[in-house]
Amino acid sequence: MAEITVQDLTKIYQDERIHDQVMAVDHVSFTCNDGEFMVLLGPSGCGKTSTLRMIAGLEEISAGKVFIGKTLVNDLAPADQNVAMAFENYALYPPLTVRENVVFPLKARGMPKVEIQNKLREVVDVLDIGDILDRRPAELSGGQQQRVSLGRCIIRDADVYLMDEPLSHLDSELRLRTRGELKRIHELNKRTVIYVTHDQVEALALADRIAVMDNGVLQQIGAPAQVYEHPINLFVAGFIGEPPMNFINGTISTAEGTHIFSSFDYDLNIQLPESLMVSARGWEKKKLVLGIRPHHTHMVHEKEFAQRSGKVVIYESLGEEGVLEVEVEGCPLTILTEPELRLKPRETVGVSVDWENAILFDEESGYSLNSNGD
Amino acid sequence: MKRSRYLAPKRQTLIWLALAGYAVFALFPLIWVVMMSFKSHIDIISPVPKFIFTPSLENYKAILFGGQSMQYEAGQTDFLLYFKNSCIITISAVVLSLLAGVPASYALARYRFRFKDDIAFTFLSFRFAPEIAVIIPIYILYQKLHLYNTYVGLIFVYQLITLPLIVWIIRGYFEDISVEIEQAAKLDGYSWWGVFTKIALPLVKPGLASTAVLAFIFAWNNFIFGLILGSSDTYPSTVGTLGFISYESVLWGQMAAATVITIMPPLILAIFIQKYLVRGLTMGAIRG
Amino acid sequence: MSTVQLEDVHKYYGKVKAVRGISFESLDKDILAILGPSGAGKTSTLKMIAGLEPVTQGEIYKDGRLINLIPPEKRNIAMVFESYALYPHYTVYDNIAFPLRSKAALLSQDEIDRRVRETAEMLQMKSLLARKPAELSGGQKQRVSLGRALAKRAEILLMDEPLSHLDAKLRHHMRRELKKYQSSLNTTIIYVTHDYLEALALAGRLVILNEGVIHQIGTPSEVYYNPADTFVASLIGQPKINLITCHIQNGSGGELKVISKDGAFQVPCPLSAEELPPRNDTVLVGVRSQHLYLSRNLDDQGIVGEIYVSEYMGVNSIVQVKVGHQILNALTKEQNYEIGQPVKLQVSEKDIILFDAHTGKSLSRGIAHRESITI
Repeated sequence: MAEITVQDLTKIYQDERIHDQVMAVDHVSFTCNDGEFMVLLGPSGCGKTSTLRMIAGLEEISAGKVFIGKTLVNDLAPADQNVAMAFENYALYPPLTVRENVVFPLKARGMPKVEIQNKLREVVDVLDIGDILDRRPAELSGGQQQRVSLGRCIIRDADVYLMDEPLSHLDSELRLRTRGELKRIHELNKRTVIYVTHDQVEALALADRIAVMDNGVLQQIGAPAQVYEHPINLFVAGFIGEPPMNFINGTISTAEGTHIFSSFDYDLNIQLPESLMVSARGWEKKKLVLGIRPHHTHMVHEKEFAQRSGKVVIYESLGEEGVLEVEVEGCPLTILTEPELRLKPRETVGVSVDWENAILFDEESGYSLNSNGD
Repeated sequence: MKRSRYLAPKRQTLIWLALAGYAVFALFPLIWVVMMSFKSHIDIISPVPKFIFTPSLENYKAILFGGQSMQYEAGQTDFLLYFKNSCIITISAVVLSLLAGVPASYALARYRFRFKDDIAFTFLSFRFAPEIAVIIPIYILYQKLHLYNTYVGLIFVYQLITLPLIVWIIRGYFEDISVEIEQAAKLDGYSWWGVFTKIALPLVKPGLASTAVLAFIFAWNNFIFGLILGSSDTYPSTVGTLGFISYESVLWGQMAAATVITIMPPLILAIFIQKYLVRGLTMGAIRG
Repeated sequence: MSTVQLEDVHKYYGKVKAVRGISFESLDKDILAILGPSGAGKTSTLKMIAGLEPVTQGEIYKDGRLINLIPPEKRNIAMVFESYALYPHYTVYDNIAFPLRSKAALLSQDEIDRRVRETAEMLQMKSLLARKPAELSGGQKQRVSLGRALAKRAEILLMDEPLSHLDAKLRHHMRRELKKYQSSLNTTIIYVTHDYLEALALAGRLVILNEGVIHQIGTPSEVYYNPADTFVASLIGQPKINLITCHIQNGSGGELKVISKDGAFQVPCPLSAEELPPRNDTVLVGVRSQHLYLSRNLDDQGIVGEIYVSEYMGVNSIVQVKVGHQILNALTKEQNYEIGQPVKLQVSEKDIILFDAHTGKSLSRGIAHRESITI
């Protein structure tokens, strides 16, 4: 039973190349509740791994505090805490077989043999490593080593599980499978997990809550659907989602009760629904960015139902879905469609957009107009 | 990103002190020779080592411009000739090694052919045997082939020093170039010669320069080949310096001055290419 | 007019048989994608076409002319390498100009300059021309290597996993960029990849390769909807196609049914008794995840299952459903399924593909309305 609380956690590195110091983690604060699966998500170099390593006690904390449960763990060694870890770069014991590697933490704690065997069987099933149990790390592929490392982590009965990109070296099929198993284990056992990844799909799939980081700064914390549908700023909006969110730069003007968003770069005027204007009052004439996800834009076969017409730039039929890029009055717009549409470049299609699902951002600060006061 | 600055002055000072101590220890013999070269003969043979003395350029004058201040006629030696010999032999040896060694190392790095590894090993094995072990057979050979006491003969025998070095280090540099870069150049319409001169050679140029300097230094410092296979016409300056030791006396001051001048070329080169030299050496070490 | 044709081509590296007798032909001004997992022999095939690797056995023709023995520099073939293979000591400008300056190109200084600038314009990298490769990001390097290949205006353009070193986001972006250039390239392209999305998005036709052998040649819809065997079916699509081992039984009304061993999964057989091979004891039923419909209403018709795990993905969710001993993947727009929650699964008969359980070959092919080219 443990929650993890991080207060103003900061990491400063000495960068030898520029002979100066770099703030890798900048006053990050959050609480991972007991039994919660929290994902730290961000591009490489955003400070997510440093944050995890400081929580794990593997890296010196420059400033701030880390609590596991009610205990301040800043100065405790990793071994003093009941923390299980899985690393991106495996860290397996080379002279031991896979079996010995996986059960090592249990043996070290003097667990009875029968119990170890039961635990091992469970983990072997979950990770599909039955056929490599007697091999040594040097004989394994990167993906196999990573699964063993993950096995050594989840076999433990720890208060807290810390995982750093544990699926990054698996091929896509196995990654999908292992991801599902991890999610299931968590749903069934409800342990506290902090998981680091750069893959937004992995974050959406696994997390109870996602903490999005960029440049060492925490951007947003929220449930997957929340960060996906209500991103707090342009960074989160652009980083999460594939194909990426459409952005149109422009400004709002109000005349006779209707609100028009006019693009700066294209001859495009959009009448905004009232619901979007609630937070946009007072932002008239300011520089804004209108964001709309590709699945809220539609290609319409019957032209009379279309709001506008667009010219096809490219159409990709990707099996499960189609991705269509059109130009509406010159403005590029990505649309998620059915697969197998026979569309040719420069063909005209009907386009319809659910503007009530759009989000307005302040161009200068990058923050969503809904996020005022946050 | 925010930045700030901190210092750890205590630790820095300790490191500096330790390094300074080692520098004095390592450099002392060199410093002593330099001091000696500016001393008069009396100061040199003083039973108590003298650190404070009146410096003079007499020793340098003597070896560079001839014997006006010579105290003893015997032991006079033509240092300038030996210095010139060193330059001729060493530079020619390095150039020859480059001409032969660069294509060889490229072939060893890039092409698959029979006995490739054996050939590569043979090159390296030249460096295994101590020079003294082969010097007598070579001496006899040279006598018979009339290569004894000739520049050509010395340049040739210096290949034992310079060629393995160049082949092994440059091979590493060539292997470092991605094969795909050369394949791309082939598809861009260039024959193997075009690929070699326009892509491969320019890419190893920095390595080539530092390796050549390294080979120069090794060759320059050689003593035994010049001593046995050369004679007073072809002695390099390393051997020539011995001439200051005679039956009657030792011209310590002039010998020191000659030594100082002799170590100047490699020293200057080493300082200039220090950074590349380390890379060249470690690379050779890893590959070799 | 330019095509490449391979006739029974083999490539052995000592005892390793990388390519074992493949034949295919590229169409003029079309993208042919060679799709397969690592070790399939894709890159070996490409390097043989380029002339960078000798052919062990078989013939390669360019425009009907045998080119097995023609050296790479005389083939007029351009290639984009997986590692980009930019010349580190040259600027971007000189990298692009390099093929134009070769003896084979015979171009004037002005013409070279014009072409370099034209290419830079098209690929939106005019501002990068003075930089060296070390100063470029991954996406920019990729663009330069494409530019170098295009500037030459070769008849054939080979691309070896050009996007594989980019991160997921940039890869999707560059794939779309590439698709945009496609119409203006006007050249025959052979594109090697392990990413089925790239192959589906870019190619006119796909060659599916595994362990040096071709499994299927066809258009993107043919390989997706009408895979030749279970290998092709599993390679294309994410999540992977569901494959369930079943046997065929007569239903109560005399109609044929396919039923899993544990009896939990059963659907009507899409083929008639005459269409099935005589020895049809076991078959593999293939159903793509987006063709598996989930219903929370337990009164609905369908197969009984319970939720194994559900993963939110933004637009869709991947829901794993346990049916008897099998776990099936379903792709739905709905979310918030609980582990253990009972659901009904529905599959439409037209979305079922049958495979021979022994050979893995499709039984539905040839009968389906979409024709496919077989080897």
